[in-house]
Amino acid sequence: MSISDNELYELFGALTNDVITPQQHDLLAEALSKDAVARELYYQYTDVHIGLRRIFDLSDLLGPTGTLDSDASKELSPARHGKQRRLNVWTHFGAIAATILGVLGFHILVRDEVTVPASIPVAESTTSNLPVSYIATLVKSADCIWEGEHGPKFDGQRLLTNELHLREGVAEFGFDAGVRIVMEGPAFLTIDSATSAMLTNGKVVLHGSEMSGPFALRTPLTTLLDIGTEYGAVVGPQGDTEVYVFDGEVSVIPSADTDSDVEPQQMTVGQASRFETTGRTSIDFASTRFVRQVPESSLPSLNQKKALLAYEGFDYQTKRLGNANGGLGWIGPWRAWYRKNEPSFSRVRFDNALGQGSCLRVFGKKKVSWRTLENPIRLDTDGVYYLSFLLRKIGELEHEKSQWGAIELRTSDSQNDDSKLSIGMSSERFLCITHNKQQLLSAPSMPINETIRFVLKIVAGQEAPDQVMARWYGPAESLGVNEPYIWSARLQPEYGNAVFNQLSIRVGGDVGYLVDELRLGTNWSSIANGSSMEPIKH
Amino acid sequence: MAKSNNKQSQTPGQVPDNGVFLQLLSRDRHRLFAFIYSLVPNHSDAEDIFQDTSIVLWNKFHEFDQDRSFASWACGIAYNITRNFLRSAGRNRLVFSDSLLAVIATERAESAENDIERIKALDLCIQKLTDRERKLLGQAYSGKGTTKDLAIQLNRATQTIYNSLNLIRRKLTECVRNSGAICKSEA
Repeated sequence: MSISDNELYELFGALTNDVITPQQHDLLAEALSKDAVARELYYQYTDVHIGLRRIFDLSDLLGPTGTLDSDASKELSPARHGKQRRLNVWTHFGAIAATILGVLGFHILVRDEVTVPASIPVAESTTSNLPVSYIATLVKSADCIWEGEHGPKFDGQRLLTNELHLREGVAEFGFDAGVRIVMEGPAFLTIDSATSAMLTNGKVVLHGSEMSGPFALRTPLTTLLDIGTEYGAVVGPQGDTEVYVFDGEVSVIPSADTDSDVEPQQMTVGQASRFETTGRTSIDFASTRFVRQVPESSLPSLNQKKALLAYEGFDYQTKRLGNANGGLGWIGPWRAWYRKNEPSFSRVRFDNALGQGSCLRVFGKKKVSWRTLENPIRLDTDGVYYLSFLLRKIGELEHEKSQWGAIELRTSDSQNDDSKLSIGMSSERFLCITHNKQQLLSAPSMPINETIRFVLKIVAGQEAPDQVMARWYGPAESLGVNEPYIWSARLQPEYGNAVFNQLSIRVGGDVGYLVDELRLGTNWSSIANGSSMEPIKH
Repeated sequence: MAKSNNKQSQTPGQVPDNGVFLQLLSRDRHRLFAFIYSLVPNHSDAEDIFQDTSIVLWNKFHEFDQDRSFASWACGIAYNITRNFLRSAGRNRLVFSDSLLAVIATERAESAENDIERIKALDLCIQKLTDRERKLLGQAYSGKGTTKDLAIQLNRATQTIYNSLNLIRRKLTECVRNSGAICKSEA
């Protein structure tokens, strides 16, 4: 079969215009398969098409109304428009490349998260069953006023891809890739993925994670790539970008034409540069321009006491659970079941062997001790909860035997096991979290006869999916002032409306566990303050 | 498997040289994108494949023998990613057969086209167009709106716009060919 140039061009046109029919496609494929000349023409045609996209990607020539300026369009020739055209060519292609470079290293697995539509707001997700991938957390904020309806609502909130317009205040975001960004208002930041964001206006400080791949911070004129570094970036109204390197190195990809001599460059600690359309200039290194950490809010711990919803130090003189009515934020005393609804206190008691405060000792098969929360954990409203407690496993049984210990959050309806949320140590001594139908075990195994601190974080959404994450701390670790950026285990987000008003302590198998310093709060400080490993004195 | 004899090659697990990689990728990325686009002539799909390819190139950069052509190495990886993409893209898509893809990949990977020269030639050819043609190209390729939107804006039939663009692209293709900026493929 021979096909004329006219027919080929017609097929190329249909293909390029994305209106080609299956019949035309078959015809084109056949021609290309059999005819080297047709293929050569096809390559040339596609090269022209791609070249036109490069040359005419001139969004900055558009007027404020979004229509093409007629005068500008007459001067679209690259030769005449040199720098301004090149700017956009690089922005288009360079940003794509650089953005992808941010999705590297360990975090190639988060690529699926990039596919979350940018338009999904945090608090307005539908209740569909579509999987949702959170990619960052508002770790801490101070005096923040957010513009728009999709701004974060509370510290600890998990975030999807989102546009963040901060009018006032300072906010810190922890990306799941390990990078932290401190954003100072007024600023406009768009979270693209766990490894990339676009700063359109304002100031940020980026704290890189040396173990993660580079994070791509895009600005109108540059893309900044870091590896385990700290730098500040300021974007002005015209898109001009200033970069200050506080620690490590930053790769800067200017939005300049590849055809030019400008090459990607490395900035090192102590360097500062301004990138404008006219090029790069060195500037004074003024690190004090930036807020590198979120200060304490000027509205201090107004609700700090309220943030602690429940506390139990198990510091009782009695050994009978039925008399144990202390602590904070509970309704009624502790109760115990050996079998369902059959009280048995003999093997659940408060242990004060050393006489320096006591803890709860739970020993024996399927022991359950439970208590009612005054302020339940509500998954049907927006909120964040932190639960922490100390746990020590006493001795170990043979490998095959059941010997787990956990704390569960349950509804009043004890028959409804599906809605429970539990965290604890599995029989194999792995961290184990369970929620609804999800169960996750996380290595490494934990030590026996050592006190372990468990922390559970629950991010509840009224309309957004809930997410649960957990971390355990060994005897030598401290909780820190701020919540961790890295969690030991994180369940997939899912929608739920459970209201957990009971907290129970459960042990499976003939093994003993000590439990102490149980705290439930709505911010990190409420569970972290005073959370040393001291209380268990067994 | 043959081992790289490049002394500068990095060992597996070593962090790639960010600067070198960026330089190579930024130098050859248009050629790489053109390679992908000729296999998958849909801009959105080609960009997705280009992005996936960039990630894999980075991850495998420690295996790259820097005495060899980065573009050829990148095209080989892009070809495999393209095939995987097309396999998983579903049956609703119009795609070239595996055998045609292999031919195109081979020919395009061996291409010695000078990207800069070709763009310069295209630039000169654009200047030979009429003002009206240049304006239409600017409107169509500025990335704002669809061709249908443009047709409505210009109060013309969509097919008329398509025809005009086809004609202009043909003129430019022939102009660039005649300019000598396009070289034949290397043997």
